[in-house]
Amino acid sequence: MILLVARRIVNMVLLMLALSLILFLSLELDKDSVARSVLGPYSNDEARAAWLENNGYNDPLPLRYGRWVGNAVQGDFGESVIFRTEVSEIVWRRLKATMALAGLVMGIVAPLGIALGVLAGMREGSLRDRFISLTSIITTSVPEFASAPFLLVLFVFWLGWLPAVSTMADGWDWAQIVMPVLVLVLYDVGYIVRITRASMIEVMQSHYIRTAVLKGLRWRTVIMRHALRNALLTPFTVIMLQFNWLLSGVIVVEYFFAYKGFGALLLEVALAKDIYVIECCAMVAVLVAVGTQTIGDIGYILLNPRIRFANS
Amino acid sequence: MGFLGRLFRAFWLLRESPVGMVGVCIVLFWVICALLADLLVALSWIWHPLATVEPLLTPLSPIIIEGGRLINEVPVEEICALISGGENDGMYNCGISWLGTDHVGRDILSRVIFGARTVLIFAPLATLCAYVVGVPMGLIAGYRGGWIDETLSFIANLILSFPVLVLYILILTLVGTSTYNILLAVTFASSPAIFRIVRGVALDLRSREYIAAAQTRGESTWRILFVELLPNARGPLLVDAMLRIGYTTIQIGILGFIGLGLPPPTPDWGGMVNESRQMLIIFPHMAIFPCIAISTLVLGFNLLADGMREVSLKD
Repeated sequence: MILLVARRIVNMVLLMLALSLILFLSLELDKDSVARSVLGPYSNDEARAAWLENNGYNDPLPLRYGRWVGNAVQGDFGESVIFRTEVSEIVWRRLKATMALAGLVMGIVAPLGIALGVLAGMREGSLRDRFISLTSIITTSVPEFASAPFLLVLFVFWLGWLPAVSTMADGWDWAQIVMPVLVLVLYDVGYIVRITRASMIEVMQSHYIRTAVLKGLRWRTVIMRHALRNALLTPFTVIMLQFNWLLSGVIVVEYFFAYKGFGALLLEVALAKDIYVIECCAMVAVLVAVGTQTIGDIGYILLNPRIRFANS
Repeated sequence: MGFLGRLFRAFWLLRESPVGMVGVCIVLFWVICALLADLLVALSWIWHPLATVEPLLTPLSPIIIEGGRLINEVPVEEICALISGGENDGMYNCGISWLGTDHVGRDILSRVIFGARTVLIFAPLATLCAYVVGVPMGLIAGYRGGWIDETLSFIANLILSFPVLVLYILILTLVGTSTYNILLAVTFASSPAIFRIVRGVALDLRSREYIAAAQTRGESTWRILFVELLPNARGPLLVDAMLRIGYTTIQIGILGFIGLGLPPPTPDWGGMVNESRQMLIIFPHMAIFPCIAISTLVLGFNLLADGMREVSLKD
């Protein structure tokens, strides 16, 4: 297992290097737009060239990249062009906001998705199964930018229960977080339901479940003690992978509800070509992707006796 | 039976799955809308999507049009009763703006219908491009293995470890938003996933006897890849293609929504939602109808994929 983690870490470092280099090169194609986003659209060419020169954008690429990597390793990601602060500071602040959002979403999606999936997969083809399957396929079909206006009109404008934006201007507010969480949960839960259901159906058809039923165990015992353990293996891995998806979904939702999080930051800096923030965000994204994947794999090994005993 | 024949068979088998049939019907509805959009305009059942009628009409507003121009603020219903059959018939037209108009005065119904055309051209086309790139790479990586596999898999992992939407944003801010660049971005972002599926199948099948037989016969590598290997991957690939078209529809919608979509006058569902976002509180219809449109289309593709999976399991 240590080997797995070590290999993952090496892989992650390689990914980070490759990705950061690509991003650096991509900026090389259009340096001028960085200066333009700082100095405004009507700045003249000389001013922009001078700005680029003064801020070290004209140094040779290997030197700049080397400098960036050297600093980044020490936790210094440079200075943001549009926010005029330390990159690590703004990214960390936004990341915390998004972690709160993502944590809430995952805290609801995982238990809800698994519960519904198990309920549906217990008896394939039953009325309950059909209802849950159909509902989950409908909710996954409605993209976030479509469900957000629906829910906004319903809960905010008609019923007037919730605030329309989630800027969190006066500190944390539970009422403001409800809409973003609701939209993300609706979109994400269906996928987990479907995976859990498929996994559950497969387990329910296996011989050991049939044996358990035939030897007269209570239905509840069969499900809780025998079926669930194996049926939850796949959903666990999928849920870990879901974090990576969430990072995409969060962009739309944060943009829609003006929530000051990581996704909104990414959109902002990508549009403004604020390269150092983009680099930092990209590193965070890779870290999240590889990290959750590794946790998923380790968890799978620990939970799955077949692999666990084969290894030891 | 060729590959195309098998493809049609896969769709034909769908008739046994009610879920799949509902999906087919929904998708067909939008396909027909997209195909007949021009005819509907020609019959003047709907406006041209770029024609401005009268801004900010709510759904089901009765309207009178005088030679293409709209007369408002008159007792519409009474006048319409006078016009129909009267001497001015033909000069004035009475009608209803079924879904209302947007802030510029463009008819929402016609923009939703023409938006179907946009999305039904771009989503399948982008998916096709991703397949054209992903399938050969996956086949060769799975079949050959070795350094080709290692390299391609690393690149695929590189792309997949990054949130899709972020990837789109970075590519599109880099190369600019245009129809070609959106196709490029979608291809770039979704071909690795296709690569993985195809690679898995090829890896699984390459040790089978019939591949060994083909090798002994002295078949060329390309023939083995596309004639021997590929047809066996059609089951998972077809299901994936349907899901992916739906997913690409969402992605293109999201791009339109965050302002990186198709250039403005193009009727684009995501763009319509974005444009009317600020007016949602007073005129919800401007955003709600495109939302319904995109949701139903994606639902159609998802049900189609579900039906196909169901049928292929029985097969």
